[in-house]
Amino acid sequence: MTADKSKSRFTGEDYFPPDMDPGELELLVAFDIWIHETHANLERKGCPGRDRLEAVVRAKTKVEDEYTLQHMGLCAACLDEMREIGRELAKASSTE
Amino acid sequence: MATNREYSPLWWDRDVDDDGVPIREDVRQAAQDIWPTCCSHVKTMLGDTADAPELMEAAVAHVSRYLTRYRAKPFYPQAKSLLNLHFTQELRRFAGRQGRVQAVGHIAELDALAPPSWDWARSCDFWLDIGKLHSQVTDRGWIMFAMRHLGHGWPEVSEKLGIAVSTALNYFRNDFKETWARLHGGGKSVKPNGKRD
Repeated sequence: MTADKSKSRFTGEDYFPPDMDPGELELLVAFDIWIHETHANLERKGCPGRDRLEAVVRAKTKVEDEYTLQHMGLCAACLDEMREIGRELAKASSTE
Repeated sequence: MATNREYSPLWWDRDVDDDGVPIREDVRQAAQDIWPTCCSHVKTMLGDTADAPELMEAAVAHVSRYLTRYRAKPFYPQAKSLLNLHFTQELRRFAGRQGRVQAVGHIAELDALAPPSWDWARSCDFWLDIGKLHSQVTDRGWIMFAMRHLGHGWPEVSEKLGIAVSTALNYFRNDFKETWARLHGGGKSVKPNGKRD
């Protein structure tokens, strides 16, 4: 899978979605705190691995990897890694 | 120490938290700005302001760490809003733990503590209820939520799930709204993924 870097959506600073409902920011912050407190998963048990996480981050069509989709909602470590991958993609696209 | 107006107690406005992690300037400034209001809320809920400094110091450290983790740019515009929200929710939590809800104010003052009811998201008691939400929203709704947390806008969420933007948005809103209503007394249907109350 290749990303169209000329149309990269990764800006590196978009830590919240641009089109939030009123109050959604607070809900997302609460989710962030909850998942880091209750599903930190520092041991990375059951994590699908960087390649699969990156595939989801890059995807511009339907993601068929249901395991990774389900897992990311319950693993702070994977969410953090996906965010980092997004930043790296943004950085790479901005330097080209 | 922060200097506070009139009879407000003092909280420790410091450069680093207990772990030696620098505390962001924007969060410290936000704390200065909302401190009188927060003291008023604490007094209304607990009867006095003795615990206000500790609550504020913890909230400042927490929000600062959060914004640092996400590399929020300096003087992040929502710093005050996040701090205010976190402080209020921690106050509720604290009062619950202590069994100390001793309202001395008027009903209107208590109402001011409640999130505005003009939209569905703000009606959540966030810190306490995320876990409950997770147990009841659909798997699909939770995946959308995680994608939103990653910063994906609705067009991006919809393309990753292979559905229309409007479908994704409506599904998410209805899923969370209905779940919230069910959690707070409206209880009814079984969810498509089998989850329910």
